[in-house]
Amino acid sequence: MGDFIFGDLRTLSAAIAIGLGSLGPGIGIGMLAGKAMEALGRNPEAEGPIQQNMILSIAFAEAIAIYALVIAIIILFVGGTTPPATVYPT
Amino acid sequence: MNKTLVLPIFLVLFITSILGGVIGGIFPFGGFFESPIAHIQLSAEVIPGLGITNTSLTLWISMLVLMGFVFISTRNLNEFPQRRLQNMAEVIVEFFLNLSQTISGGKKGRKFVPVVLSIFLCVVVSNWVGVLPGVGTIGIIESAETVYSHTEHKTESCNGSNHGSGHEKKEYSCEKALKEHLVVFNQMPGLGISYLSPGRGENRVDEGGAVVLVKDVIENDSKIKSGELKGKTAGRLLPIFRGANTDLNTTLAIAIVAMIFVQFWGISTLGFKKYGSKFFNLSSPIMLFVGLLELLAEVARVISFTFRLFGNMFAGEVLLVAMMFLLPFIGIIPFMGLELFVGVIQAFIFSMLTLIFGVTAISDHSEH
Repeated sequence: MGDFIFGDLRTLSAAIAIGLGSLGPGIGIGMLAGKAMEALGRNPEAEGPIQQNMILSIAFAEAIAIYALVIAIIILFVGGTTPPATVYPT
Repeated sequence: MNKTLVLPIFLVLFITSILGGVIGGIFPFGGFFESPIAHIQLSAEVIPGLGITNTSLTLWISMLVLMGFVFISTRNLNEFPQRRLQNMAEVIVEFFLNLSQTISGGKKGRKFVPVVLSIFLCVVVSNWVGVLPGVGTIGIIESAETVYSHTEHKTESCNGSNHGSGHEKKEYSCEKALKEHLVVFNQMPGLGISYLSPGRGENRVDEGGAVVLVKDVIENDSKIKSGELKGKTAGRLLPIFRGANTDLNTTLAIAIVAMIFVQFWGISTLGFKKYGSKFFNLSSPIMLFVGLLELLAEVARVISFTFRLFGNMFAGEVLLVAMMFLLPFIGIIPFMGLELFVGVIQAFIFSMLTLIFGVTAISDHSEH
């Protein structure tokens, strides 16, 4: 049972990588969208530029979370053989 | 289709897919779809017969699709387009023309348009071709021996251990390679077609298991190898087609081309000395340091371009695979939509960033 829960150090490090790595972008995207809503409320005519720039900035912030995800996937699936602690229904 | 029928049908499909997937395995009657999780592979694989990788093949196909689109839409050009493809192409080109002129503030934005538009079209078409059904799911089944030898060559501790053995009996001694997972396929007799064998659990091939270890197949006590289970093959799928941007090489190539063009625009507009003085600013030590950091930032842009596009596309592929495992029947539908959306957005981001870096590169700060 201990083997199953803790598996390798690899599983734990992959989980930490993606968990901590998505904290920052999550907060960043929330702040971005909030400010964009505020600007939209003040000036509804400028909806086109505001929306375009908001999507662009959100993709920037999301890219940081994607870097963390790539590292987590590399830790899990590269450099060993089986994915650690794979679960199959029995 | 009656509107009141939509919700009940959707609920029935949803409950079927939950019961038939992994979660439904708890119930005795559940888990009937029994889809095993596919092997997730980071690097692209070389197709044995052809000698090129599967992502290269898909990139060529998406290039053919794009060339076909451009060719058909530019036949018999008319000022008032009779053909819808010409209209669509004009929308895309106009959008990027306006964008370039807005961001660069004038007509000098026109020189950015060819490269930016090409990057956008190439990335969006290859992203969308990577979501088509059949991409990533149709392929060649690698036998257990092939999987063993691939892993043995990659593992450092096992290298060279088998090269000296005789030709009669090959020794399988690499522990890591023996523990690789393989999936069981059913074979259609006489047709050469295999499909995923529904099975449940690990190492129970005789009871319809779906996943076995390499050592069960290679060593002689396996029922598959001895031929007792006719019509089943254990192996790993090597997809013939795989989305082009799920390969790090493709995205790195596009990123390097984009940054080379940014430098080219800067040097051709400002001249070599003025453009170089942005990075090697000899007026004061602090400015020299700032300039060197700018140079480092240029290199970091290549890396961030690469990983942004690669991460989005590869994570999307892994997400689709995981959804096929968890909710087998319909769970993948909203994620296909997400993939299409993300494909467009990432292509737009890539080209927009190239444009912005180009505009920054040709701007002359000393004119303030």
